[in-house]
Amino acid sequence: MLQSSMRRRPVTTLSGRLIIYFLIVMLVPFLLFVSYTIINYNRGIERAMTAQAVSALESDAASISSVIEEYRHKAYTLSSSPIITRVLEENDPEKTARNISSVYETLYVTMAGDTYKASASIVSSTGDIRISTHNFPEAYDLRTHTNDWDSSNIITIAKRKSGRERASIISIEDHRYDAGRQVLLSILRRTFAADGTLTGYIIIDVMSDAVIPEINDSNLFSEVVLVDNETFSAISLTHPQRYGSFSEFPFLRNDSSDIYRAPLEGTTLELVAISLNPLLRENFRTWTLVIAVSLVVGILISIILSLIFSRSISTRMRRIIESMKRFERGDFSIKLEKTGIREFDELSITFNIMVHRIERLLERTREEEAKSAEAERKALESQMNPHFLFNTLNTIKALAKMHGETEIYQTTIRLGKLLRSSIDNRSESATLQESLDLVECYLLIQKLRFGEKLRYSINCREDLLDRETPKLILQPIVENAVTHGLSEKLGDWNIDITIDEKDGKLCMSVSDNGIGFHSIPDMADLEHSQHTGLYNVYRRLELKYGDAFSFSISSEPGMGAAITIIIPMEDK
Amino acid sequence: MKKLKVVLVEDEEIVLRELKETIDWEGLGLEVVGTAKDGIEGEQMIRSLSPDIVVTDIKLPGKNGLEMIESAAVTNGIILSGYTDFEYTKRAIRLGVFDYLEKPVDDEELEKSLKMLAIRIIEDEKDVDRISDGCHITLMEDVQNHWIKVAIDYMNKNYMNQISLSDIARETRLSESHLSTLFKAETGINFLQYLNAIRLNAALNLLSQSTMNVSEIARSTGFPTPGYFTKIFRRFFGKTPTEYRGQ
Repeated sequence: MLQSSMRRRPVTTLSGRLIIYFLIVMLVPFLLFVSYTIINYNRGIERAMTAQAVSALESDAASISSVIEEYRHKAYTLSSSPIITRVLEENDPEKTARNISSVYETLYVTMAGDTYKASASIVSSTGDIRISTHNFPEAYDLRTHTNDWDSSNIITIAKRKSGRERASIISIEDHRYDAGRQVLLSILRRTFAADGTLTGYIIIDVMSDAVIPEINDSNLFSEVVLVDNETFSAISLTHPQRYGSFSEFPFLRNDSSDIYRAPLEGTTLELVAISLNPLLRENFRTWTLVIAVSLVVGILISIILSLIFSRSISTRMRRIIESMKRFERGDFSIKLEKTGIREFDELSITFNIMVHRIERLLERTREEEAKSAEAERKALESQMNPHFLFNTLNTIKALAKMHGETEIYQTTIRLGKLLRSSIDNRSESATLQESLDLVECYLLIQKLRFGEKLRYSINCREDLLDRETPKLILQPIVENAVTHGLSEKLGDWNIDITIDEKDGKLCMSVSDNGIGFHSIPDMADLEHSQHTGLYNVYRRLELKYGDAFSFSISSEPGMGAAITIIIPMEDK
Repeated sequence: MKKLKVVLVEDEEIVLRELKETIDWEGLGLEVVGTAKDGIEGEQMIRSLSPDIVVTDIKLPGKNGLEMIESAAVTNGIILSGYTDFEYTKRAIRLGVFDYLEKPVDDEELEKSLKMLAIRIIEDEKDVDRISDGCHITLMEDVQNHWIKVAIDYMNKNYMNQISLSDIARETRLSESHLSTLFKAETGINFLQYLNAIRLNAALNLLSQSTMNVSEIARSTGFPTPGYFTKIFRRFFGKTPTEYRGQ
């Protein structure tokens, strides 16, 4: 039962505890923040981003579609223009030269000032007629390349397709730069003579500038790519210098949720975009890394701080402990300096005070020991074998009695009683009867010496005689009265001893008609005066009763003195 | 009236003479039948004279006063001693010493003590005659006072051990002097006599119903020594335990 209640507490160091507290303070808000962010990111942001990306891409696709549609329509307009079809059908440069201004007019009107966004070129099937809103692109000069060597050339593509197709052909194969502008896609329309023979081609090259400003307005995508699913070629709309087959764009092959697709109506083209999510995720990863790093740094800092702090405590503590150990070995010169930490300073001050007190106490004890050793030495020197003394007194008594010396006989017996009571340590108290007998013994012996000159009276209420009082109280006071009060006085000597009860307390008074005290001494004077007997009585009463007694001296010089002691009444 | 016999043992010639010559033995109804100056001589004297009272010093050549009292089975002794030694007084009480006076001896006190002892011895003898018919002791057991009942109960249970008046005083929470007076008043005999009677009754049983020898019986009934047993037995029944068993 006892053991289970005594749970053992693990012993830890200050620094260890501090580190734990620091970590709790640091990690708890961090973990809350991280868990909140993760939950939020997964649920909301990603879904919203996806929806936003889908609609953004759709609007991008719509704008590209409308651009393509616009220029397809322009290509159609040009192909159905009578002047252009005639020029191509005639295929005669001289005749054309005559009509050239109206051809150009038709071209410019149709392109309607969009010439920085697109260029329109017409070329006859032989290549003899070559007219363009801009410089005629060399790639379309059929004289120089009748072969299929340039697979990215839209004419080459058109030739590969069935010859009778009137519909527009759209290609994103060609990425020529023309006057610093990049061609994004080309739209080709073939013109035919009335008999159905191919007369030439109308080509509109749409520059990337026509489309790119519209694309990825919302900046949701890291890349938007225009893809031709028929030719498996692609061009990046966000980074137009990137183009080529699908191998140029590895992300087209995978089917990640971060890839968004929007087909362009009426074409084989498709808009493919890669969202910023991976980037965000990348960001998130970097961010996690930053947090992890700061966490590590934080832990390091907290460890260092804890070590510094606990060290600042433990060095002071060690100083105190060392001082205490030195003190334990008896070095009392120890004094703890101020440390600059209030709690430690309080400890230091208390310790210093304690050291000071103990030092004083030890000094006092040593002094007392020295005194008592001295007293003991004196006692031993003056000691006489009490058995020898008592046996001798007994022999004297026997002799006196046999020779009829009554006074010697009685004095011997009284002396024996007095001596015995002063060395008897069996009991600390005596009845008043015993104490008064002793006083009488003493006074009778003194009377023997001084005869009728010494007179005494003892008054005690009969019922108080069996009360216990501390022994050897009255006799030393009487002895003091005789030796200091009366012995120097001429004339009669009187001593009156009165014992009475007063307010439930025992009142003992000894008065004499001796020379009295010059001045009433207080107890401190008494200790060093010749009245050591009185002081000893006072001291013994103080030890026994504390404050519960009174000891008073009254005296008139030349007229006598009275000593009154009031002590609590002991039970019978 | 016959005088009680006293033996004095004291090694100091002057003190011995003073005791013998200045105490009013006649007036106390006593007679000094012998004096001795050492423990061995004293013991022999006590054995041969069987005094009623022995007054002895403690410090004696050969054998000290207490040892002498014990081995001679003295029942009424007064010690005169220069020593105030607690061990001595304790042992004296155990041996049933009547008084212990400190030197220098106040002869008035000694005479007072002798007088009281003499009275007690005479009373005891009367009591013995009254309660003993020579082969059995009749004890008053039906007492009225509760505390004396407790005391008698205690004595009946513990007589085989060393018990003294102070043990019973502690048991009954009465002062020794009060208990002593009350006991005498209630039972008609004093405490020590009563205790001896209980022990003797037990011893009578053992004597007639067991094969234990006298020493074993003395030990198991609480007598300090076989000597005391025999002495007190004789006082009550006028014969020794061995003689009693022989009958």
